[in-house]
Amino acid sequence: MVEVHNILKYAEKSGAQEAEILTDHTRFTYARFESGEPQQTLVGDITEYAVRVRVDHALGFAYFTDNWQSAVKKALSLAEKGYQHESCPSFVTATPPTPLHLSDPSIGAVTLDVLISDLTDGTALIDDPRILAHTGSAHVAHSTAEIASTSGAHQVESSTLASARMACRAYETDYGIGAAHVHSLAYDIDIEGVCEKAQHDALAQLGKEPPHPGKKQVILSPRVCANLLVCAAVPSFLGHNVEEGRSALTCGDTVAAHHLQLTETPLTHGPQGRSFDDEGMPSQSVELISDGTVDAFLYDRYYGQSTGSGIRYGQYRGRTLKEPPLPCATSLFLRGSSSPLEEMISSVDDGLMVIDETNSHASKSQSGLFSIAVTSGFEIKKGEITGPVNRCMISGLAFEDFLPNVTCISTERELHRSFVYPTYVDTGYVLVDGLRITA
Amino acid sequence: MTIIDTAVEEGVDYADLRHDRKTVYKLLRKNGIPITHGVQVDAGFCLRVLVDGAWGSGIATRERDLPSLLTSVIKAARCQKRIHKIRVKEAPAETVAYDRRASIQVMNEDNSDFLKSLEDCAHDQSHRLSSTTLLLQGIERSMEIETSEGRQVTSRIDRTSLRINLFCREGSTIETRTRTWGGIGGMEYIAAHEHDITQETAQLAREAHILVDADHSPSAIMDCVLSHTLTGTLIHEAFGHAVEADSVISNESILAGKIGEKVAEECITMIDDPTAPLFGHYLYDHEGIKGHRTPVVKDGILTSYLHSRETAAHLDCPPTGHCKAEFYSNLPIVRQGNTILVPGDHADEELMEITHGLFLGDSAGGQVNVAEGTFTFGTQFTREIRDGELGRYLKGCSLSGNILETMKNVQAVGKSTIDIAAGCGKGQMDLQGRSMPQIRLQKVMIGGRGS
Repeated sequence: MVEVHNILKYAEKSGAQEAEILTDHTRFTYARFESGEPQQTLVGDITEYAVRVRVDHALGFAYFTDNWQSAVKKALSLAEKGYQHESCPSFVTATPPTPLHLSDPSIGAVTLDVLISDLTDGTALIDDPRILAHTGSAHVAHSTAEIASTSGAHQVESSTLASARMACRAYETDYGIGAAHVHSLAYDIDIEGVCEKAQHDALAQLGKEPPHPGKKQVILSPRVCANLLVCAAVPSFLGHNVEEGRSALTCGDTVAAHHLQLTETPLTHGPQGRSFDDEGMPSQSVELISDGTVDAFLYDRYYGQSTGSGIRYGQYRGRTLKEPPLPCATSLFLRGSSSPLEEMISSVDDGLMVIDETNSHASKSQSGLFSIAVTSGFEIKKGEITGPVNRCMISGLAFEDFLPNVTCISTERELHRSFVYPTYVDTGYVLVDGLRITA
Repeated sequence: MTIIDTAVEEGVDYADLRHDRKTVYKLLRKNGIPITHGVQVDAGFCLRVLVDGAWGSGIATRERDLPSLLTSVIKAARCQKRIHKIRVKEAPAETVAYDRRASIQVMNEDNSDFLKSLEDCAHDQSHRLSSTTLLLQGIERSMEIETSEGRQVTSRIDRTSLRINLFCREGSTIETRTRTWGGIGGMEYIAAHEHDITQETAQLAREAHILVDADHSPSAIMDCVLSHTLTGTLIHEAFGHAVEADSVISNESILAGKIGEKVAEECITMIDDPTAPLFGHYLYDHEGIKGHRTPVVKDGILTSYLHSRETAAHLDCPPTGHCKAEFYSNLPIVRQGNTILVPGDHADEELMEITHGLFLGDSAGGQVNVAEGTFTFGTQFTREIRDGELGRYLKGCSLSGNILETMKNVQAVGKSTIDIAAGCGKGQMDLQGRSMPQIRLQKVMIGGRGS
């Protein structure tokens, strides 16, 4: 691993007026199972680098895994030919973040043999003859992110992650699919519980009947609620979309039920936590929706400066180190009027409970228009779940049909990671009045 | 002595080492500002061994780490103790090379001017244009594969793509249109299509303008004509993924065990041909196997799956060369190359012969559940069809259905085709090509917000 200060010195010597280097060193172990046997294993120890350099008022960016001198020169070449942004901000100076202690020692003791043994034990519990196939994986990783700049910033944060997922495919007269996931900083994940839940959920979907179309009360599972928030609502809160005409929101707009609060909470001891962002700025909580109205947006140094407000919120790189940093939510927390899930179900006279969906990722981020297919769900009649539903669709606008009509959030909460963006969401089941169902 | 020689000495059944290097150049123009975006240089090694019928795999960014990585992956394979042993199809011991590099590079001043001219063209069409993003991307992918069979494959393929996102706004209503063009080689591909790209950019701006005032698509079940790109999404997502043999052997595909059976209307003939000069072009896949033109469905009958070395051995079929990885850091998995739906004999106006239906415009992404046999796709816009005529524009929506039922509801396949540059995220991103006509489908479930 190349020492970051060597890269910074080289960049300055080669003509950069300022330079910033971000590295991520990750060691991981992964095992994938199919129908109770190991199918793939992967071990890795990799280091990635992203460098930004400033020449006059232009920035150059390069991502690399080797040959760092060549990458720095390419970044400099791009900056030298680049557009001169008068508002191009300096890189962050030394600002100590709040330590979060995101590295758990239990991860270091987990070998591939342990993962294989635990997955073998877990998948042995998937024993119902109606399960045709099951696939799943477990993964442990230890990462160290380090950011340094010629402006004096130097921050290092280590974190660990253990995760497991399982999907089951059941068949009787039709198919039923069940899936379960878990994430933790420590190797305290319940792999057996994940396997049992995936089997249970797949079997519960056998014998589906089509629901009646029309506007109904809908209970969205935490996973579905998280997907809709991340794909249909949150893009309108990202600073680059706000500043560049791709978000219709302004502070003070009413976009949700009056009891709802949506907060970006990176200062959390969990997989969603991080003490500084990918520009080296210390993380901070940001209330995006407060009492149903837009309270703030997420900015980076560039877009935050362009607001002229002088207020800079948390900013995060997008998916990977391969792109320059852009505003991004990493850790959302939804809260509001709450009640136990059982009471929520009993309050529904004629509606649906949606456990899983497809196509939230195709939501139109600029308008919040979503149109999802229910892949797993139940019909609710007179306060009771009556049976699984056949394929149907739910559509609407995030800020007109979904968030303003949320009447309560369950006290049972879950943490979900979006499969599209690097964003975790902590939420409960949500009850929404009057969503349009096609069947 | 290479690391593969060492692996053979250690007694592995099979081993391969892929040294993968990918350089991506991006030229970005946003809202009138030419942002030179950056460069990615992604290089590393992926080592796989098959020992006692089990895979052990590892990745590294430094060559000097390979000896210790070999020890780790052999240990990982041995600790699995599989009951059902994995085998792979072998390939001839030969040394082959392929080179298809760019003639004209992405990073030069002329290309910045070209992006500006497209942006100006869009602004000429609409005073509502509130945001523009134009991304020109050049990808150079070099790969060296060495296998324990004594096979050595060297490949360099360059690709170039242009993606345009246009947003129109009136008050709090914002609508968008997006399109991607791309091909193999460098800017020569874009230059050869410059006129069409300019015309289509103007059309995108006009459509984004119209969509601001448009009503929502209905929530209904109706007959529809699918645009070329949406047909591409349907064939790729609904059918293409279900014939990828990794999901077949894990018993997760709705098309498992259906070779020789009727799975679509007779008008459907689908081929996957990575050797065709489309965006997904390659001659050798990421296991070093030669890519084959593979008829998948002929006249509605399922004829073949797409294979890796492992799935070909499992189902005792010839390998088709369809195993690919996004970067060195990904294990190769079964993927489509260039998906081709053979055109039919209906002119575009004949496809529209519907009393009351919808034309479903450009694709806005999709998702398939091959295990359940269901799909859901988004469209950027729709248009009403009344008495065979295209009518007013409506805002985008999604459509959903069952793969087998839908493929038996295809009424007609169009004559005209277009080439499409596409991406697919099956756990890892892959660049693929498509050649698609338009099709007419009966009884499509439309999930729009309108009534």
